[in-house]
Amino acid sequence: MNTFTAFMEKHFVPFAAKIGSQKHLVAIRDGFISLMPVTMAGAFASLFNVFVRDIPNQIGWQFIPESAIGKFLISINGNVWWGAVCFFALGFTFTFAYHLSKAYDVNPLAGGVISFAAYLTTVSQTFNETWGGVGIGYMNATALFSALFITLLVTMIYIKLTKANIVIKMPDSVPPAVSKAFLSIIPGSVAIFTAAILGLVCTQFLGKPINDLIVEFVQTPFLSLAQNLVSVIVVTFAVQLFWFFGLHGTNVLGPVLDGIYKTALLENNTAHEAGKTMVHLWTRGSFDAYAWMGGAGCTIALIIALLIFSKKQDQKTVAKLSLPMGIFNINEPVTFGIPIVLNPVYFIPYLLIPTLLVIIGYTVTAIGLVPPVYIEIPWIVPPVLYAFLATGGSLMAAGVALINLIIAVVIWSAFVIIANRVKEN
Amino acid sequence: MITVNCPMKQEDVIAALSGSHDGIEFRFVDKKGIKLHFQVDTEDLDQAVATAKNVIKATPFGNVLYFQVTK
Repeated sequence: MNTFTAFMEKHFVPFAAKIGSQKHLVAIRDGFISLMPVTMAGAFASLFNVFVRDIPNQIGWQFIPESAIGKFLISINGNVWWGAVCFFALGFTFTFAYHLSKAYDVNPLAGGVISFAAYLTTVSQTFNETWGGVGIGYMNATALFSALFITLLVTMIYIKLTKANIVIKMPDSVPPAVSKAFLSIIPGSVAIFTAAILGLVCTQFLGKPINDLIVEFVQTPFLSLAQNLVSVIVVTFAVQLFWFFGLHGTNVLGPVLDGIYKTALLENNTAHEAGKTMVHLWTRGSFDAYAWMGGAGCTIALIIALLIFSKKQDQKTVAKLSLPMGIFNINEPVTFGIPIVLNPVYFIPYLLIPTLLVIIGYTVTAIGLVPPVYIEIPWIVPPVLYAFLATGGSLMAAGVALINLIIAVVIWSAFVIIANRVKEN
Repeated sequence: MITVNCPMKQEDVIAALSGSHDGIEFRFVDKKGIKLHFQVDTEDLDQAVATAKNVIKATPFGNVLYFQVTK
């Protein structure tokens, strides 16, 4: 283990550190994080409608959604969802550009608004043969990848031209806010015109808006590939491997988890609200619903196993102290208290249990036993309840999460019993 | 005394944290497995913990390192 650890530290940590600190990937991740207050509001709206509309309709209590107050609440939630979720990609053009500009030390506010405008130059101005209408598919999660690529292009143009000093400089007597705005005029205009030209070239010569081309040739294949069970297993395993060796798994793979699986979650959410079929089996919330209960490694199950089977007083004490936070998926006390990190006794269960749990969660979703996860739930929501809420009130999903938890407790228990026999080093 | 639980990059963490940060002096005492013990010259251990976290996060690898600082 020491040799392997030394190998990981020498070769893998620098590589992971490079990925984890790569400016563009970090800006993508931070762009998603910045939109969390908005997506959460949309998620709450979806969730409230689950209790006011979906569940009552399922159990024959139509009097609730059809009442005056029910209709009012459903409308309010619908409006919140419309404003918060339906324009996600548009918001992302701003937040991604903002963080990327900040990383390069140029005016982030200008970067954000320039990217916002540049993206809109590529969007079709006609909807249903009427000029001035914009299809929602260019604004919501379906447009996320095109928003990402166009934002990346125009923001880098803005950054490079600003850094090359191809700017209008104002005298020192001019107020800073005005001076900053003037600095961005040339780089911003070049960036916006570039996007407009690119958009027109695609429409005139390739027959489709650039957004449609990116959806068809990049986003759809990427999301489809990520929906494959093997991809889900690989991501889960990789995240666990990183955590075990003391690397922040969800940070390092943040662009994958958020860029791909969060997009899938938002697309599912949009489909559900529109009364359409959800196409993505596995989304960002699925990991938390079925595998990472109590935190990565399904550590709430380890805490339970330690409380029942551990004969080491210090580990039982750690388990007791870790339980209150473990219920809310905070697991640093147990991962560092036992410790789990770099502990050869717990290497196998820490990696294999979440992998097994995602296989179970994926399978039951694929065969239609539970609906896909489509509501973004705060990660601190306790296990089982998380699965219930994230699937729009599915008791079956809660049941699967509970069964997964029991399976995890059984497997962790076997290794806790093994650990009882390991002498302290 | 504060403890940094850190499986990777221990030598780099010791180098980054040793010294004065935000008016608090951190002195490396010893290492036991993943635990790095630092003596601090303040009684406000909560502040020392917060400062240590910020110092480690500001390192080139801080973003990807999984660590915990306790008092």
